[in-house]
Amino acid sequence: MRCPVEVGNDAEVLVAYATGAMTPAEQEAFELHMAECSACREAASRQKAVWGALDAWRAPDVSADFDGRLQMRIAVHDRVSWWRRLEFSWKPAIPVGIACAALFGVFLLHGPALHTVAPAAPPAAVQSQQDAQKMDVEEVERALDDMDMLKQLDAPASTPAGSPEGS
Amino acid sequence: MTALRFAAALMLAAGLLSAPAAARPPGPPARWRQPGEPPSPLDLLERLRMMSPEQRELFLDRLPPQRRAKVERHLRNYIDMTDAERARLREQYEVFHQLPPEKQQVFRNLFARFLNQPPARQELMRDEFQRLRQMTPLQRQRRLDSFQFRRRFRPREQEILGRLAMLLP
Repeated sequence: MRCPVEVGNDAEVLVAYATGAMTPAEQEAFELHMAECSACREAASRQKAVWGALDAWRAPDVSADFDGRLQMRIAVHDRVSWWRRLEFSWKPAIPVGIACAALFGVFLLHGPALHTVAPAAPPAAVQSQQDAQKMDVEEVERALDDMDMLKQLDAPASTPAGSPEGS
Repeated sequence: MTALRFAAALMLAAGLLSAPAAARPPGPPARWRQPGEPPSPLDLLERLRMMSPEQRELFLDRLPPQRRAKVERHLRNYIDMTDAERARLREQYEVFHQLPPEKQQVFRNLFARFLNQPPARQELMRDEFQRLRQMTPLQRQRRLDSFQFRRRFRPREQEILGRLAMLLP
């Protein structure tokens, strides 16, 4: 048998040997090899010690009221309302929300939108031309006629009030 | 201490918010036109007055020659007025423009009848109309009922002046 350390499968061979997973032929061959190889012998000895310790360990017994207490905790958890559980999950988001609100406030106060309330106005000449095209010519004509009428009626009074004609 | 900090933060926020308003240039309170409301004829006239001669030409080109000549003449008179004259005329026009359309038309018809009077009579009627305009409605009625008024004006003139006076605010 070639040395497992040299082959590179020493971990599998040692675990199989320690757990008794080898076939009798494999076990006999490995034991013959260990008689000649001190490294494998020492590794197998340590592996056997670990497995022996694991076999000797005993888990502590579960207390008699363990099941009862577990059931009680599950019942208490189920009675907690969904919003309490939600509130808990929102807690980390509160500082993030405050930071976002502060940033939004800063944007509102100093952002470009506040300083440009109206869209950029077209050049004066273009605006004037658009005005000329949009204006109701008839309405302007009527307004000018009315103004002319009012102007003609608006001459300053030259005769003292109440003075009869020819008197 | 926390309350003090909160108050300070509120004051800072209020100061920041009021800063743009304080920086606004002073001026007359703007009269915002309601959405869909057509521009006032006075606004149109002002826009026309502020236009360059070329733009005004563009606007006047839409009129037939005879009407164009009249509008041009009236517009020239309006532009050539002093600011005080223009402001006075605008005030009178605003009063007139607030009359219901049918009353505006009555006013125009009476003015057309006024224009049919001889120039000397027009002058007298104009003076009388100015006096009536400055009176309260009660004073106006007394004046129209007075012996002096009936003696001074002919029946047709009395009717024109009386009906014009009824349209005054």
